[in-house]
Amino acid sequence: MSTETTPWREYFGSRENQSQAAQLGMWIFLGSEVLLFANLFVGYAVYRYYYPEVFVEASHHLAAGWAAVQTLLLVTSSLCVALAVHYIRSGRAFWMGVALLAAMVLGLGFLVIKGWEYWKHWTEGALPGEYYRLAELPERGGSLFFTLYFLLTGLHAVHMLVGLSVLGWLVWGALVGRYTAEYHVPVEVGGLYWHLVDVFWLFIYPLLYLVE
Amino acid sequence: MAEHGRKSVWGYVGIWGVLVVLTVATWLLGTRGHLGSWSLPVAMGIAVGKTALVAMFFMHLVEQPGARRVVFPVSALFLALLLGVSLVEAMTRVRMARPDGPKALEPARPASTRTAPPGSPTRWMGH
Repeated sequence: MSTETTPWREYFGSRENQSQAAQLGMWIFLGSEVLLFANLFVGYAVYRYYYPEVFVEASHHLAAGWAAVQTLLLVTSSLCVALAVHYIRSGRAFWMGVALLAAMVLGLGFLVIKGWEYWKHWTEGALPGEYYRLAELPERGGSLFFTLYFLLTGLHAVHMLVGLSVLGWLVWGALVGRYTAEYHVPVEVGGLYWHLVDVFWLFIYPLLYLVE
Repeated sequence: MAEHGRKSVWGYVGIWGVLVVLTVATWLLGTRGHLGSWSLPVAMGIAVGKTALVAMFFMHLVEQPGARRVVFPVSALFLALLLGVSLVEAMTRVRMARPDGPKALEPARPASTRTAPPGSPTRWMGH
């Protein structure tokens, strides 16, 4: 590798320092992501307190079984990303690419189910805000539930799309031989992002789909 | 870092197995469990447990030193503060200031969907 294309930077002092700085930076970014989602979770908690019965009924309009399948897809994709990091740590870039591709396929499966759910809500009128026209549920509370539903799942889906792009970029890097056992900082921090998106869903799933 | 590489993948697969079992448990308890007022604490407890597994092993927090281990718990603490204080504020408002307000201000909606008055012994989030 020529000096122009080396990923190591002198000003970090050592490679270990550079790797640690990258990971700490990613963790701080993930902390800020938690605070971004926190606002929606707090809004959810307050309105669930005000309209508990409506939230239970509205939750029954959602497909809890399919959401469980989505959870399994995300958890399995997280395993694939963890395996990808495991493989590249021992320099097996090919298997890292395979594991990341598997994670991307599972992530796409998740988004396909989500798109089908959105289409169903569109046809029955379970839409956010003023577009809400679901007759079976009271507008107050019901409309709020679906607003929060679309905000939470929508923000999550946007994060999924970003995560898929990151994974795709990492697969490309594996194809061109950018990552080795010595240098794989982007794989580690990109993997962290995907895991966090998985963690958000672990909370969104019971809060929206399993209200009792 | 290379010494991690030759470790077995079965540790990760084992964690994944536990996560799958917990996911199925969440689904069964949430749809068939009828836990009543316990459903929210149980579901959140399982979610926190799964998060701990993902963070510690898939996100490799277990092998991280110092500052990187602190950031995530600190963000969770701030989430708990924001959530807790907001909920305490909402729960201690006088009735007039609540969205479900006095009868005259309340739009017609089925009695089954009406919010229980504050202070009811059965009133807890979602129940």
